[in-house]
Amino acid sequence: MIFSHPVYSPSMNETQVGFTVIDGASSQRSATTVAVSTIDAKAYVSSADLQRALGIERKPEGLCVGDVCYPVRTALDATIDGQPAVSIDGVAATLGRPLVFDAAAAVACLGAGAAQRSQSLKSGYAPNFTLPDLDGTLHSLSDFRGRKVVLYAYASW
Amino acid sequence: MWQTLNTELAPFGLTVITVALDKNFDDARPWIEVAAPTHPSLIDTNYVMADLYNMVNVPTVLWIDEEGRIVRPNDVLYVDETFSAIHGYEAAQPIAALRAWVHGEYSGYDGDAIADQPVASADDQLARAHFATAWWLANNGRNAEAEPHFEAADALAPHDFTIRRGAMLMRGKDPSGMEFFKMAGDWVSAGNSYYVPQSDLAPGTSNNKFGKFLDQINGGVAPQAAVRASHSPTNGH
Repeated sequence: MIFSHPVYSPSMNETQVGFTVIDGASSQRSATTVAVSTIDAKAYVSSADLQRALGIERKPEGLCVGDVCYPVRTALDATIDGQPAVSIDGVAATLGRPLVFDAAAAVACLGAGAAQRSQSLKSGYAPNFTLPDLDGTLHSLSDFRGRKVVLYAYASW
Repeated sequence: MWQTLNTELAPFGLTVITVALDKNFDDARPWIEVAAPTHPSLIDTNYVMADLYNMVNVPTVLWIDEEGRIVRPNDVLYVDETFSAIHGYEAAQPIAALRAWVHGEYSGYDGDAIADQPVASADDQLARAHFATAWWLANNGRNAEAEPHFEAADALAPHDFTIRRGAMLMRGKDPSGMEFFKMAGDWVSAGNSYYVPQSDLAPGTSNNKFGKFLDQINGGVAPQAAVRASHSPTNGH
């Protein structure tokens, strides 16, 4: 059984090391190993791990991704082993991003938010991306500013 | 075919960028090598494009102008006839429109189409997060643990054939085999459309935006250069 929101068994009421967090909004879908702790049936990661795994910084003004900070309207802070920590669920809710949390497989994925993706497309500007060719050379859409571009997505299957 | 169009239209300011949504470089390699593209031919093993642009099927084509603005949002446009017997869409009209756009004869821009384009719902994005989770598990040899996440993605976004078909390869199924045709057949039987092309370049619809443009310039017949049928080993690329 897979839950889209964290559900915990009593036996998990401790720290689980070797938990993989995937940044489902990054181009590389980067996967980072962190420790996840449960307090009162909520999963927490240290603020340092949050930044390391997902590039999200806990600041006094909110949760910040680069220069953009989202105000925190839900209780998500905790202290674990004397270090600041945040609930993963609270981070997802604050940022409006989907969370997949699979406790049994020890893997979680914070995806890209629907509002964020929709606003980007509706703005009328093509979202930038950077992808490799067969030789591994990276190309960005923004490299072709000043030219017309036809973007063709296909699959070998 | 895209290589041919790129060679023809690059001097007039067009760059073709093709992106293979494939599970690894080796799946995409034969296609790219036979096409021998001189334009950027990229590989997207994480289906990043599908997420950024809400591409729920392939092939999907967008036109982007010199300022980086979307001129034509996601559309099903074929530039060769490889699969026309299956999907029924002809290549001539889209190619004619593309040439006219590049040569500055046709703006192609449709603000309503951009405003009205389907965008991802919360469930769609949750499905993509499940797909990314399954993808990572499968890539690490943990197929049994990946399977429920593939299933969750299917259930949340049954219209998203980019991930449903892409996932089939990772689940030991043939994305162009019977299981796929059953999946697509069930979807259509339930009253849905498999491909949803924008009507203005769809075949057999002369009463549309591009058709009216053709009427203006030459009485409804696409320029000869525009409808030249072209078959080459690069078909489909």
